[in-house]
Amino acid sequence: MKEKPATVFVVDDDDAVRTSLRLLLKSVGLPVETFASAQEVLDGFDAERAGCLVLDIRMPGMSGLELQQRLNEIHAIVPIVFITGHGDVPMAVEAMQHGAVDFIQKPFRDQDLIDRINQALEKDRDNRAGLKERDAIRRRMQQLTPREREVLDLVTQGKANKVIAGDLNVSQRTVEIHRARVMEKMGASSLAHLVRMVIEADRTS
Amino acid sequence: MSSCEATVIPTSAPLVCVVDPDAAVRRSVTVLLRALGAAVEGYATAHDFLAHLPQAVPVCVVTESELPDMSGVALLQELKARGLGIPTILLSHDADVTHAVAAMRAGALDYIEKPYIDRALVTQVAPILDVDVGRPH
Repeated sequence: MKEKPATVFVVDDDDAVRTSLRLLLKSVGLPVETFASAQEVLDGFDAERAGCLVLDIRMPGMSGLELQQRLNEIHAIVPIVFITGHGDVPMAVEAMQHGAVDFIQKPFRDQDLIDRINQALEKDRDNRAGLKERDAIRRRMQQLTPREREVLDLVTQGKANKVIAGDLNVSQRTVEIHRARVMEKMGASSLAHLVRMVIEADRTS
Repeated sequence: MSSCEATVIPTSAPLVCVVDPDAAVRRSVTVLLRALGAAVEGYATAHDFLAHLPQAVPVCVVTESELPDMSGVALLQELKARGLGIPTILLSHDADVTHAVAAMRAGALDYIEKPYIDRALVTQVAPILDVDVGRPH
């Protein structure tokens, strides 16, 4: 299946705003999809789709902030650029505290919005690359035998082979062999590299 | 025999620094945060604060967003540049969305509109001091 290109998902209850944003973003070559309500976004939400959300804060029904909250609850990583007609500091701060990449007030210059959308898309690319890397590490970890997994845990706790041999009640030579296999299966070039991978794999979201 | 008495104020109370040219603000924030168990030091300018920084690194900084010698965001960035990722809260008396968003993008923990700052300040600082003040509503 071919992956769809990174898309700007515009959410605004105002028809005219959706149309003008669609034209603006198309004019700079960005794929756009528009939604008239927050609920519509949730109903068709696909976490695999790359892109960013451009989200009106005030909408009838579910507000932009509520949608952000719902997306956070399902651990969606899509970056959000909020647009608001009415400047409200607490609202802006709340949106940012909950992970919005930006919050822009109307009226704005077209170029400002495009710049911020491009930043959001870049962030999405970085996030997705990070997730991919994490998945690869986890897959490699799953290929370890239970014993190798034990050795990995002890090694990355900073324990020396001699100590690990005592912990597992095996010879030091056996630990060395397991350890070499762990390094090989994980593709680790050094102990520090191995530790970084384990930390990365342990990160939630 | 217990070596520790509940009434003794620990000398190792976590330090919070308040940077604001307005003495009244420094005073009220000091009273508020001392009640939460923090040691509080007040400074009128970013320069004063930065000059004292090497002696004691605070667990949190509360700063006016427009100091006489530097903006709150610039101070936040200066702390970062020194490798000190100290949670920093900005206070502003003429808050606007653009400044608030810029502060949050720079990594501020919060951006609070004066003069009613107590509630929001407690909400942000209490967890840093490990104080349970109940669920904020």
